[in-house]
Amino acid sequence: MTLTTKIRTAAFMQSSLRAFFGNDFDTFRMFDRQLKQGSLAVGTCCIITTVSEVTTYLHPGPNPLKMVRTQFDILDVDPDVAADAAAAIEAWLNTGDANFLENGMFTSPAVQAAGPSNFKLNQRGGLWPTTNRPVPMETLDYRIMSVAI
Amino acid sequence: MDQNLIRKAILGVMPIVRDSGLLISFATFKVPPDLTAGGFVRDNYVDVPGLIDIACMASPLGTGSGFSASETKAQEEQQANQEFHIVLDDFYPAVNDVWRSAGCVVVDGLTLDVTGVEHPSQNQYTRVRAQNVTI
Repeated sequence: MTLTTKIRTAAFMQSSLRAFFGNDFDTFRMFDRQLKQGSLAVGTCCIITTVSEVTTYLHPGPNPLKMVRTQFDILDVDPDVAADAAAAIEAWLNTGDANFLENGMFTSPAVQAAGPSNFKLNQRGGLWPTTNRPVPMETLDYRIMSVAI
Repeated sequence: MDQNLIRKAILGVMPIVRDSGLLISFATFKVPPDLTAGGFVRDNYVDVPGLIDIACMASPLGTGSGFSASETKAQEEQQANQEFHIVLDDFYPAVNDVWRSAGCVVVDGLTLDVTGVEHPSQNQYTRVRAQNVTI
């Protein structure tokens, strides 16, 4: 399961994020790499892009714990809503619910991380300029600790 | 040659266009009036007095290839773009200000971004370049 799949699946479990990105998993507006055409007209959207993946080394071999630099682009026609959605993602990533480094995150009950394991590197405001009027965007840059499951 | 004949001929063009029945659409121009508390342009566009329900004809913008609607695929989006050439029934100099104020035009219910305004020096009509872009 890719990290993006894990992020999207776990994010959908959060009511605070469903309030922004939709209540149907199939159309949950958190996208892998590319905005689905027509989605911005429906509501707030988030695009997840892997910027880089750092693998370290242990004596037996490559460390299965990856440090994945991940970018979240959050778009909404209202800049305040985009900022609120970014804050909701940030709040969630700062909890043990956003656990991408331990197996069992999708079991019932889910296994939580002992503490926050995702590190915010940067946040910046931007614009998506191509539409009729530019769309405000908040970009979150995170280092996410992840183990493949 | 009697130059006045040309001038009179020019004056006769738009009445013929108006009588032809070609101008079946209506255009209303809008501008964003204010900002959000954070300073971003608010999207509650308001009608511009004097530029409401203007008779017009909106055609696909001529490109030479015969098809101006297009799609551009990028890494993070797929952009659908449709461009129009709108002829208004008369000379409306204020439309130029709309264009230069981040305004838009609504033609038969479709909201378009105004991307250009022209009128020839005879001031008989106004033409507007507008586009609808979605991602």
